[in-house]
Amino acid sequence: MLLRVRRIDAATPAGEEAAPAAAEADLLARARRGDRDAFDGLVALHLPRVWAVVWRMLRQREDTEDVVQEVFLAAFKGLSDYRGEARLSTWLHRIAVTRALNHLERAEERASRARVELDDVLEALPAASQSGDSPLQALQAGELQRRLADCLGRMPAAFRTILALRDVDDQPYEGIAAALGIALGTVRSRLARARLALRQCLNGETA
Amino acid sequence: MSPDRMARTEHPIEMISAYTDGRLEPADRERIHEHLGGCAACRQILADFRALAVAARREAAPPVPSYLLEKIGRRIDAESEARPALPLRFLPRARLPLATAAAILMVASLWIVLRGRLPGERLAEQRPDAAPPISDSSKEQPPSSKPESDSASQNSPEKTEPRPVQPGVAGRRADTTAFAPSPPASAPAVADSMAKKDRASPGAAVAEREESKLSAARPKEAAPVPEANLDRPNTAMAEALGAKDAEDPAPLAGLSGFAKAPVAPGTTLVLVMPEARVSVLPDLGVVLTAGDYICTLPAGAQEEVRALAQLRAYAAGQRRPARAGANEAQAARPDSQEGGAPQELVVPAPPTGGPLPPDAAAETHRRVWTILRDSLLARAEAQCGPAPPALHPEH
Repeated sequence: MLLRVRRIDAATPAGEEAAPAAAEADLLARARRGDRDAFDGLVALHLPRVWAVVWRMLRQREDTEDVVQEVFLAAFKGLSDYRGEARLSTWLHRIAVTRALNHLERAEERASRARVELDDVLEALPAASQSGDSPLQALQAGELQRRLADCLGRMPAAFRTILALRDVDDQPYEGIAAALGIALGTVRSRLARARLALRQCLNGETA
Repeated sequence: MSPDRMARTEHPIEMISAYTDGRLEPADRERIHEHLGGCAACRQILADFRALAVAARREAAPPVPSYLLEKIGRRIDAESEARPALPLRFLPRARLPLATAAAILMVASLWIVLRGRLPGERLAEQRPDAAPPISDSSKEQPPSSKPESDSASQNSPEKTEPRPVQPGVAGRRADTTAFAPSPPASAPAVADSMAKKDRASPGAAVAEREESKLSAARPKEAAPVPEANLDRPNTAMAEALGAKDAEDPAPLAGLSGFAKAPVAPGTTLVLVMPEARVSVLPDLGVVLTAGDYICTLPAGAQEEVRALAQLRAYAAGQRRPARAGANEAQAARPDSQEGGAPQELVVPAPPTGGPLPPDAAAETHRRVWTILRDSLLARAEAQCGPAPPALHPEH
């Protein structure tokens, strides 16, 4: 293996460290010529970020492993489709999101959880959740992170996914709309509801 | 957020959320500023949204399992083994059919050379008067008087008369009067005498003859093949085969030389179909003829036919499996023009009449031929309109 796998650092939560451009370009060129070692090098470069993207959407370790493998397998098969118009990391991110969404669909998580009408979720929120009363700001950082992880794990996948894409991956609304196959207006409204639901959960309220 | 919802909810949550993302229009931004100024609850919600975003970014995903990288590699390896041996996955999509065909034919051809030959397969004999398969119609008539509409017999090349190689002019522009209707079930343009010789020891005879011919036809070092018209097919094939530099210790080392081996100028390449033939004329293009249907194809088709012929020629000259050393591969050059006489390299049609011989080579040959036929036919129809129904697979 050409490169060591980088660990995801809490300071760079999405593994956003840019792969050394020259090394990546070289690996990419060789991989496109069929060099397996070079492709392994690309995998090593981008695995942490892909892992993080998929994990934030699935929140299940085993599922994440499966999907991450699918992502790189798809990339391997489809490397010819990559024209270099976007960064390789962007292309892989797109594959990762798509595969994760497919997985959610396959697992019928959407059916059982995310299929819940989002409007209904919002309607069900108690009025207090929209109030300004919030103990959230008083939480210690560690406690906040713990609750956050717990709440994200219990959220409908649709909420979790859009929060991950926007707040963690910093995807623009347009990119989110394309990835999820929804309208821009839906992105905006779903984000608002997801944030509200997360806030409610963190404040100890139940949806 | 719909007006109704805005009315029902106490605070403009959606606008606050969009404001967090900097996605409000100026007018809305002004409105939310005003609202925030007078609504402590909304200011708290905004602060919470921002805090949650920061917290979400800080949330560390679990570390990547140490074994995952290797697991991914194994899975890709497994997938590769289940797929064609050559790394066709790296091909641009548009070239995949060609590459698939090329890879399959490569393997098949090598196998064929080692084994012998396919039923009905011949390589065009190099004759002093051999020329591209374009001639005046008066000279093009094959010995056979079989009617063209005899589709039953057309499907069996082995039952038809071989199509003689006619004198022609490589540099002649392909006009419609220059082409004769293709005879039914055009078998490869090979002299019968070759077939007779083959009967004693088919495999050895064919391989020996091809090797001999190809050796004689190899370009001399001092006379490099002009690059004009050769770059594109060579580039295509290099990509198609995922070829690397010769010094690259790649599993495809044996193919590297091939990818670099050009088709010599003056070589006319012919893909024979039961009801048609495709000729790749030096410097002129690709012409598909099927009865009255004559079509000059776009240049892209030239790559396909030429690449296939390169494969065939290489395979004919290659006496070792594909992974032989690069030196042998380099030495295995396809036909070249010798003594000024144009040559014809024929990719024969597979036998289609009756059940296929129970060997993989025949089936592979059929598949490759079908892929190329379909590809070329699609190009022809895009260029010249519908082809005769007899050319279509479902016919």
